[in-house]
Amino acid sequence: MVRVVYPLIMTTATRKKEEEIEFEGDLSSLIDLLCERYPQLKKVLYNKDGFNRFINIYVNNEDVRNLDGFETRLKVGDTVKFIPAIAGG
Amino acid sequence: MLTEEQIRRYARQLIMPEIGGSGQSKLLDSSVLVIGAGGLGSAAIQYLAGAGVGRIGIVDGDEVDITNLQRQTIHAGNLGMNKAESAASFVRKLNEDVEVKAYPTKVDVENVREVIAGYDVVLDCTDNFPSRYLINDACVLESVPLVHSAVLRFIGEIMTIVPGSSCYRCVFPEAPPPGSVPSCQEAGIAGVTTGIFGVLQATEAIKLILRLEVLENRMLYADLLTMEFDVIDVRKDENCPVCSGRLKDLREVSYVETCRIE
Repeated sequence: MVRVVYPLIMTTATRKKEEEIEFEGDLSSLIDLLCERYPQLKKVLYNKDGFNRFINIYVNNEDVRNLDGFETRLKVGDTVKFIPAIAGG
Repeated sequence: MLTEEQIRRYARQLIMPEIGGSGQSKLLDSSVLVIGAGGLGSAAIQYLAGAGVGRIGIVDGDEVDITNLQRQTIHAGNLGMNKAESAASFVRKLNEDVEVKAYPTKVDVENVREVIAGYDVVLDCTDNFPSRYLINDACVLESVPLVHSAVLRFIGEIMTIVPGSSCYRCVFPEAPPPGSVPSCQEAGIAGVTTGIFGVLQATEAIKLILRLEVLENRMLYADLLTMEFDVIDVRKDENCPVCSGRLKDLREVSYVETCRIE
């Protein structure tokens, strides 16, 4: 199982803050699976040029840009967190 | 040398090994600029003033509104007053050791470098993306340490940017297009969230002055509903247009929408 934690902007599509997903593969296949499960998610995560640069993805508190990016291999017990930029003060 | 009254005023922190007499003198000799006297700023300012930071600048062009008082407790009794002036009046009442300067204005491309240049530390307590990117870029250009924080509902983030470290753009290269991430006005903000993160910013400022370890090259994210606090290592982006030194002049950047630097 992989634990996936969603920020506010994704919960309008997922209707939950987090979930455990039976999954094997890399990050990009997980995102594909999520977009399939929650069709509204695609327009939250992507723009015409690709994945939104204001959303960071962390696997076990490591920025995937410092791992293998979207090819980062996920294993049982991993926590994947999507964190967008926020500006409130 | 501390006066007898100062020894009594700061007694509880003077006995701590991390502060002591020499740390207190450093605090009294230091200056912090707080940009935004809203939720984050109003919490931060109270503790910076209490600790005896010798000079505090407060920048805010807005006026105190009744919807602010659920979290911006520094403005008690000051409805309608400029927020920088209101916060400054609190500081004067709390601690005469602090020289406080109110800037009843907004920072922009034209004034920001000049305003921050005279301070030892800047706290970004603003509430919008263009200001956040502007302040990050200006602080990197001026080599002034910056404590960034942002909040929404029960979540918040904080990181400290010092000369040579990774900067806010290394974490978030560009801002969300307007409308894609809700503001506090749209999605809400718990007063306690601003209180916690504002005080964390003051903590980082005090530690910067005392030369203690800070959240440099690290971002702390917290969800106060689940009480999950994550500290994430932030690597310097070699291609970052700002902290790699490529950006020389803020006028090259358009601080609207995504604030992208090509």
